[in-house]
Amino acid sequence: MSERLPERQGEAIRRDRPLAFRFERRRVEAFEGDTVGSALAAAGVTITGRSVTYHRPRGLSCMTGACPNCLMQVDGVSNVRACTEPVREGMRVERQNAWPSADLDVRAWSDTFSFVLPPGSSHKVLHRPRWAWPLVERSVRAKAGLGTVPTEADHRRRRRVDLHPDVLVIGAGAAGLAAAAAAGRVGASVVLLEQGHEVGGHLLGDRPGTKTRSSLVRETVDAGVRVLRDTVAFGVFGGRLVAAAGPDVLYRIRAARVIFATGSVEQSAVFPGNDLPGVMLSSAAQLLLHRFSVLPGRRAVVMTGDNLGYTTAWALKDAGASVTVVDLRAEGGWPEGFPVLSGSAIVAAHGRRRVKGVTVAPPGSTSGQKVSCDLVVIACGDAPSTNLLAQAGVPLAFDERCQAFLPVRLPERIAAVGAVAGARSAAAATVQGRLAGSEAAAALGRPVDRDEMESLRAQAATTETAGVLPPESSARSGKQFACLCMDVTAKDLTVAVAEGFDSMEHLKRYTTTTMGPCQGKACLVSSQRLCARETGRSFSETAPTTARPPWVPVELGTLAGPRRTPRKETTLHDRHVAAGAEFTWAGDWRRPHHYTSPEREVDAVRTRVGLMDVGARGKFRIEGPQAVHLLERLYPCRFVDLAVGRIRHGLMLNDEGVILDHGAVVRLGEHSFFVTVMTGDTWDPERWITWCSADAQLDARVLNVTGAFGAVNLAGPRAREVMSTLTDADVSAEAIPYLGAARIDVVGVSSLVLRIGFVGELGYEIHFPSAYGEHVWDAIMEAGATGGIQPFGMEAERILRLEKQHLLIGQDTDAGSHPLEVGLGSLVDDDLDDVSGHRALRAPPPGPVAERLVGFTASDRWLPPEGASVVRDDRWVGRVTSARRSATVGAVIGLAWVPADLAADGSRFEIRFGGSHTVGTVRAAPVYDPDGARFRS
Amino acid sequence: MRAIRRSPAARLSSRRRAVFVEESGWELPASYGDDASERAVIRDRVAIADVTARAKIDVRGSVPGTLPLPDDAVPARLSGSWTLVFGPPDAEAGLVEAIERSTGPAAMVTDATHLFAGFALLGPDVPRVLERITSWDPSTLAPGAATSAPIVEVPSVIVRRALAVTVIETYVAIEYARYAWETITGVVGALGGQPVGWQALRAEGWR
Repeated sequence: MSERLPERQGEAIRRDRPLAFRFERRRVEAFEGDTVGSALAAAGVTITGRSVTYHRPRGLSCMTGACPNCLMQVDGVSNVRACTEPVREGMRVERQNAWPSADLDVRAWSDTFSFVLPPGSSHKVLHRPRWAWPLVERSVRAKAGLGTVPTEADHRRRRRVDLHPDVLVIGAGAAGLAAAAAAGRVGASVVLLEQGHEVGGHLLGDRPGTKTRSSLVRETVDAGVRVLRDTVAFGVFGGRLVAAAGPDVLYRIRAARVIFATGSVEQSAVFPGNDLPGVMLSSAAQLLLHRFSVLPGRRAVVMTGDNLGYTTAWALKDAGASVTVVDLRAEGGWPEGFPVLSGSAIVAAHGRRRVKGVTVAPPGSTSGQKVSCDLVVIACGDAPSTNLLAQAGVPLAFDERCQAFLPVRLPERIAAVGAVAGARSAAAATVQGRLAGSEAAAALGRPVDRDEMESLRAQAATTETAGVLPPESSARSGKQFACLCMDVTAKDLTVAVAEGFDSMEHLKRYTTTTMGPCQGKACLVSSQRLCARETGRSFSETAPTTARPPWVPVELGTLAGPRRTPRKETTLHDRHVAAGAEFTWAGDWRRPHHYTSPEREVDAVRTRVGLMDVGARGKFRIEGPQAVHLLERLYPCRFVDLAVGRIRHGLMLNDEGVILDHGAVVRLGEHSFFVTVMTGDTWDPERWITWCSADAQLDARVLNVTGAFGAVNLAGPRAREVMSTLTDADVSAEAIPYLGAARIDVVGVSSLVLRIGFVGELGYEIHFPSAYGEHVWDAIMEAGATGGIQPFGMEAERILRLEKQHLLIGQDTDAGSHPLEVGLGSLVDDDLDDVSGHRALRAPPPGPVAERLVGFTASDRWLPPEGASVVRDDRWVGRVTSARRSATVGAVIGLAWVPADLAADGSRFEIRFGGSHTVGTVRAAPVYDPDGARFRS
Repeated sequence: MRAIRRSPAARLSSRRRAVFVEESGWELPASYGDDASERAVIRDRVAIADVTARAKIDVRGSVPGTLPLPDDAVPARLSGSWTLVFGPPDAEAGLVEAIERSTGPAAMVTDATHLFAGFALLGPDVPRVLERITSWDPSTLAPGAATSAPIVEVPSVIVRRALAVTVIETYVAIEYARYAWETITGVVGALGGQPVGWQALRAEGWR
């Protein structure tokens, strides 16, 4: 019944650019500039979907994306608002929530049997009898939601953009355009958000508004305003952080001033059949006529409460429709040209799959005159879109003149203009916008014309016409919907109030009214008024529900933003790639797991020489007259007697005695130390070291130099042989003994060489300025080639360290681990007083040590996973923290927490995981080189 | 084998056909093949350059208001007790000596050249790049000033140079260099920009 009109002035469609798309099994022709909704209307499609619960047919209602009636599956994406979605060549469009089709939906039986689903049915009906609930739950879950979630992974690239304009204007209607232009033309940086594809707001559907719109658009362009179309603000956080979603982009906008020009949403009326296809708001009729040149019906009934409705009536008549006006007012000077039924309201709409007529009667009556029609237009007032303002903390109060809740007591830096502030005409909105834009610019120190501002203030103060509200429903039968999204009827609200849910917050939770896709845009006022009627309160006394983000649906992918995963890599990364390394995550670091096989790499270290990149290890420079004091607070051992050029291992503890790290401290000078920590995540140790220094007010300075120094560990029986070819310095055991340090040139690079290692072999840890990394690595690999040098990765290091029973903090320990329990009591000096964790270490023990971390070996047949249980008498008594197969000893080796009475050398305990088990044997000494002769050599 | 210093992002630049030259002990990306087009990008759009080779001196503690620095050094005061000084490649030893002489033991002066990787963003579209890689408000930073703020989700020191063309330099911990370079270059490329070499940088007045 809809049809495309001949070309009209101001239309948005490009008739010279036809295109086509697939609508279910049909091919629908359209023009560039059409939306899916307008194209379907032009093609005569009246049913745009089925309602969520009762599967009632629904048609275009608002054409602004405010209602749920046209949610469709577009190119596999569910719940796309067809009325605002631009058409694209070849797109695939399907209606939702219907089987086998929206035109003939079998599930519409639920409309007939709706009496079995009273409000709150999920709370009081569906769970009884209890035995049936599993079946009912499956059915309910199957019915829940709309559309089909795509099963394919979403690989669309999302962006996140942070903007910091002087002025943010939300909404590009007349008020928003005027505000943006006024602020921008005096030099303020302005961002203007428009949720639609075109700016103009209500001016778009108003032919006389075309000129005003063009003029305002020109002003914003001239003022250098940055207009973000298809971008909707969906949340306000902390007062001024505005979140907005555009096509695959999330905007986070922090502006010095925010002007809310969010407009208003036209409200429907509640009467039986108010959801039938063909019942639409005047904004929808105007947009279809003026922007898309579609006549939505040939026989229209327009219900209005003021003269604004006549604009729509004239537009329809002008386009060729026959129009009857139903005017809520009993008196007035009605324009001529069509029949007017004054002092009346539509009390019911009739039809099954589309409206075929209405009953018109004085408000309060239930029967009256029947008027045949194929289009019903509701023009009974708007509700200001105050949701975002409320999120910004702006209180709302009922305004009698506007018959709406409006913002009051606006905080500094926030302004509200246009329909959201009560303006009822484009002219008034424009004046308000210009004033707010000028005031925002003036507050930011921009040069504004004070006289012009005074003039605008005077104009803005002019009283406007009063607002209207849709008529109250008096019908007691027939489905009359308060909430189209959730299929909540007036009767549902009546029942809910009778059951004691007598506020909007309670009604919302009990009946789900306002909780659907529209989030109250199209139904909050209806629900409020019905709540007021049933509770005996006035509309003004019935507070709206709390505004919460998101104001509009936002894709989770947009919220998640781009997939950025910061990663750390040493300067040797490309060398590892070239050597064929497989990488693994170690905290934020990407480190080589292995190059060839871990076993071959272990063999190289044990029999020849290996090279490992240990640049990820944390490194700190600590300097100052009280650096020793700081170190003795951090580690429970003496450093005052540590000689320059010597290294001491230490356990870094916190106040509770928790082991934070196991590292090495190198004395470089009287007041200068170089500290390495095992962890690559240096943030925690850095924070702790800095805190300890500040807390004790020590004259010591700390600098995290982790990245500044690359580091490699040259380890193995032939390490000294290789090392001697890299430097002219003496690298003998006498010159650089175990736990000694030396500053020497290595392959021409000034380096700090430490005689330490984690793998139990003669080793040199070489620290050098990181930008020399590739040069140093290449030179060592070249020098070691004849000795069979092999790079080794983290997995080989794990095996090597377990053969030496070296523990990893965090892997083998936890927050409850005591140094004595892990066998590192030798690193604690008892005579220190001012040590972090000192009190905890000195506290009277609650009893003898209950458990110990021990090394163990087990049969090579089964490798217990980390976390496997240690079991005694079928009871859990401990856990395996590390375990690997060792080719060197031909057994599984590992570390495990066991009860203290099982910690003696040779004790045996059972290890279980899943259905597997093995027997571990405690090894008091490392299984490899137990006396440490090799690494001390 | 001569000791040569190389930015962690050098290999990534190589893939974009960067031409490297040795200068002051560093391997610098001199150009990406066409100096003229690189200069045009700097003037008309947005460019990114790897300036990791710059000398960087970290000064902590009691730092005098003005440091006795050579003309080609750029001080960036980040707080009352933290200043970073930038200089030409291989100038770190001289800068450390000059600054230590001025501050005495009241400040800890550290050669931080290898602590940071540096990337310069140049051109009129720099603000558009920044709004995609940081939540920080660039308009709060006056020409010649510096601050610390996250860039591509990692901590960074940001310096706004007082030059004719818009220049923002960002310095991240060197271990983030490859990640930051890849990410920022991706954003720059999406906005029609490209990496540029030191020849184009210097030709446009950057020092």
